Amino acid sequence: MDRIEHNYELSPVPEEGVAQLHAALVAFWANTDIAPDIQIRFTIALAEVVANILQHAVVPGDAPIKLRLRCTPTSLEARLVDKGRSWTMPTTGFTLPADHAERGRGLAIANAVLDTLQYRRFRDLNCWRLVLLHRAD
Amino acid sequence: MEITINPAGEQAAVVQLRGRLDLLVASEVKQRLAKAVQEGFRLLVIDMSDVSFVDSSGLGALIGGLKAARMAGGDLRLASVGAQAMAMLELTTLNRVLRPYPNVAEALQAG
Repeated sequence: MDRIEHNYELSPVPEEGVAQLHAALVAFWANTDIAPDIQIRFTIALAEVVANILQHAVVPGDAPIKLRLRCTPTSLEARLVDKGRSWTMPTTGFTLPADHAERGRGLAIANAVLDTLQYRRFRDLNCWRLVLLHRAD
Repeated sequence: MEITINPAGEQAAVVQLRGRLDLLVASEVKQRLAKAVQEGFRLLVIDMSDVSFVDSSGLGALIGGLKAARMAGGDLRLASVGAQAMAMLELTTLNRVLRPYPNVAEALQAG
């Protein structure tokens, strides 16, 4: 399989952005031969990061969130760029909360699924990079 | 997301969810579950067979429903959980508290 790369824009309006993300993933997976369990894991991680952006960084009226999805013979990668509020790593890092907690699991789940979860603030941009290695050998 | 709640006995109800259980609907689902408990349904069985995707907010709604049911002396159980939702439960280890059952009938009958 050669490298496959597609670029998308996600609305900062949560209802629209979430729908666009899932539509983008359906189209992306249709062009790859990634195993279903790997698709599930990558989708879970990406959806959590996008949800974090929609809930905490951007507001309706902001510029669209830019999403680049890339599949290579060994890895899946997503890059997300938005112009919303900067994000600060919690002092607890990416740890799961107690079982009874109703919030606070999103990025811990993404971090557990991925081989790489990076965030950096570059000028007025939030830049996320997600990588999942998908070859067992 | 469509939410349908059907009585399954005096104090039990089956909650049929259809669509994505995510940040967009989590608040509504949590409220509907809490209302069902207030109406006397202490055992809630969530039929997950038509749930296409669950995110962490959706899990939070189920935890909220579980807490409401437990405070009323009851329980919340998941039935017919798909591969993606099962992956979420395992990643978060919430399968220890949100126990998945193979189908609605077994979830209703479990002790």
